[in-house]
Amino acid sequence: MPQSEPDKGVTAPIMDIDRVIHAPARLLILSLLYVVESADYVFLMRQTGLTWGNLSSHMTKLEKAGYIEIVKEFVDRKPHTMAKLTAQGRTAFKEYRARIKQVLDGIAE
Amino acid sequence: MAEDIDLPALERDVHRGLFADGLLEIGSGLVLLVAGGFLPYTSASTQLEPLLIFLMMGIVFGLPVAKRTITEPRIGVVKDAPERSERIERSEGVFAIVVTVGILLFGVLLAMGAGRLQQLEPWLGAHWLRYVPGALLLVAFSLLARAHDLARLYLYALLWAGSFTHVLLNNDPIAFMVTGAVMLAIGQYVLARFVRDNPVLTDALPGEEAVDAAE
Repeated sequence: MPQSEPDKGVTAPIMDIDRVIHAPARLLILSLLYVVESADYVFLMRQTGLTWGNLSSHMTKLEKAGYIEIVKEFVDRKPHTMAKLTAQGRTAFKEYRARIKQVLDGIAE
Repeated sequence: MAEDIDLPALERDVHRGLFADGLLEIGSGLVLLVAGGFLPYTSASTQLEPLLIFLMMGIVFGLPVAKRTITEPRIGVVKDAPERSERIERSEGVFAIVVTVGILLFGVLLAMGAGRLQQLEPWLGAHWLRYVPGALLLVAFSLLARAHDLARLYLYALLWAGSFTHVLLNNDPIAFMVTGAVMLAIGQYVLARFVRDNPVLTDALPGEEAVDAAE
């Protein structure tokens, strides 16, 4: 007897979750950048508990996805790197929140 | 998962974290101590007033420098969300006006109490006016406390208001000295704890390997 195909309508919301955001570290970074105008790497390291290397790697992924923007500016004549959420990143984060809520609400016990 | 992240609470925590260094308490304590130290000389010559202004300006302008050299290397730089920045700017505008009026009135009433500016007695001689500078400071600091979501600023508002009123009523600097010393001690303790708990991160920057970024 042939095995029936899984109903894609049921699993589609889970499969549609934005995987760039879904990693805990990146979700935390985006949550922090969502509530501020911009922040530097030291602030993000301190808040997330990530090492420089890990943070840098996550930031590169988020930047490649167009969710954050890295801005180089001078503070007291020293170069300073600040990160801020892009409009696309803000929208993606809002959609992610709605999606994950929908998925969790939809999981019946 | 995401609905468990309380974003307004996260924003408040981030903002409050900027004041976890004790510098606010140290600055407030120093201002009161300097003011208290100069009060016994208000009835004497005015030659000390430039020194008082110089010391006060040193404290006011020294705080941002301390913030840049002590706080930022430890917790980083963060710019508030536009809504928070606008709320703070509005409050700081009102704060500056109310505090200026309060301090000026305090200075004039203090001078009158010391036997100077007697020509203002018909206008500013009423006893109830001695409560006004304290009340103005209470309002000003409460506005700031609300804008920054800093509950302990309400307590400092009360301390400032109480000490200014006590000084005017009793012509005695003890309230400034005690309040200033308490705030300075609290600030030093908080700063020491902040420095201990938040070492400068520059040693860890950059060069470490990314190991778990491939999630």
